[in-house]
Amino acid sequence: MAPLEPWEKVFIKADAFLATAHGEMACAYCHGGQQSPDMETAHAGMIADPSAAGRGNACATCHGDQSEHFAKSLHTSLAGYWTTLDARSGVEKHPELETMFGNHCSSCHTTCGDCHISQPGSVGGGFIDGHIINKTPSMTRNCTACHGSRVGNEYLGKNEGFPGDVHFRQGRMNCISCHTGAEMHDSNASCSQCHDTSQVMYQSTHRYSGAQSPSCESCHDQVGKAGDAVIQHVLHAEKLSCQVCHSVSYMSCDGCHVAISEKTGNPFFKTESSYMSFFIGRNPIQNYHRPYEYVVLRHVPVAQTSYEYYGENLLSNFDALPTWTYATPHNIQRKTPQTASCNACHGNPDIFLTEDKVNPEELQANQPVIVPEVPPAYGNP
Amino acid sequence: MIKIRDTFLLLLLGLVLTACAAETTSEIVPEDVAVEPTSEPVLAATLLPRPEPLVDNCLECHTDKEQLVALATESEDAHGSESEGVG
Repeated sequence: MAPLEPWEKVFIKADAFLATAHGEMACAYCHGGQQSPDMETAHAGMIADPSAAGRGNACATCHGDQSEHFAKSLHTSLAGYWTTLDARSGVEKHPELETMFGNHCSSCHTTCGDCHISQPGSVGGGFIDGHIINKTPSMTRNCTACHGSRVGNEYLGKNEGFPGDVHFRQGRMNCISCHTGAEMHDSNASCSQCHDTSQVMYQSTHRYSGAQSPSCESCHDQVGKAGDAVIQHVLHAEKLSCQVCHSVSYMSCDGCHVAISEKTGNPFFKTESSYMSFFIGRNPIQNYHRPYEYVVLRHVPVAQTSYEYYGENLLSNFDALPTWTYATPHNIQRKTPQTASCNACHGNPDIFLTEDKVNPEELQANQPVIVPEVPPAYGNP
Repeated sequence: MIKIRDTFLLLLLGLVLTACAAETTSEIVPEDVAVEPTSEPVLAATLLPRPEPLVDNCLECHTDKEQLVALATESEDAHGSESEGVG
């Protein structure tokens, strides 16, 4: 995705935009500011992103339902970061971590405009289509602009030597083919309207603990059921996540550290290494909706010293969570090295996360996912 | 005799009309009903687009490529150029 020129970022396509419903509204209705031929005067008090938090979200005036739910979504709250930060730190470490979070993480926060009008600020911003408000976000200029280095590259086949996801290569499906507007706006979150949420099956404390949304079975609804012609589906149903057999190598990263530049005062990060790998491990979050014994694992770039710029030993409970985490790589293939034969997996230590493949400093943290013994091979393959 | 009767009937008619008129008035304006003050509709003022000025300075500039090329400047990158590796 080529970066936009400064003028392109703020150029309004007059004819096209003014013909839309939003084009009938005065600019100041959403953006404030004041009428003046002088740029500085006109921009005084102007709100560049009226949908940003703390600005009253101008979109909510008309799109109240979506805005109300979206305010609680992970795209807005970034609560997923705090789930892991809370677990790996202690309450007393919060002030330092909140400063770190504000400097380095909150720029990933998403507004209505980041998906429907502009490229996200984290990739430089700028109007996608001359300020036309798109109901459907662009896959490459919105979704993978943020979710690019792992999910985007895997799905689109940008990792050298590895094909893109079959749903993209053959089906030309884009993100919203599976991840619907209701999911993005978190409109599915109101389970309690119909269900008794005190039951464990409806409790969701992690993005992978609630109902799978989307799930492969939403489309492939006969897989693993009586009459499925693929015997491996029936044999492995509920023991393996779909990705164990149908994904290929994906990106993992190690050792991300954050700091503030002494030269510019800007926040920056440095990641020690990134590499393609494929490892099957034990499921660290077995639950009603994910009963699998084995899943695929991706190494997340956290290290015990990731935030040391902000204080000593901020991740004092580092071993509380695995650094090899439950993953859903977006590079699904019908045929993979694992599906070649039974013993492509059974008895093959290369594709299981065994103790010898884990950084010694992270052994304790990864005990819940390390495979103690590779499933034995079958007699003669 | 007829004159006296006519006069009596006229007086009776006058009494009936006066009584009816007084009763009707008291039904129309009951003393214990408070009258709500009228208020301006707020919704329309909030939701309707504001009237555009004859010359919209915002659009005049932001639809003029040449002017934007001359005036638009690159904003500071929040992550700076010092970041290294996969984000």
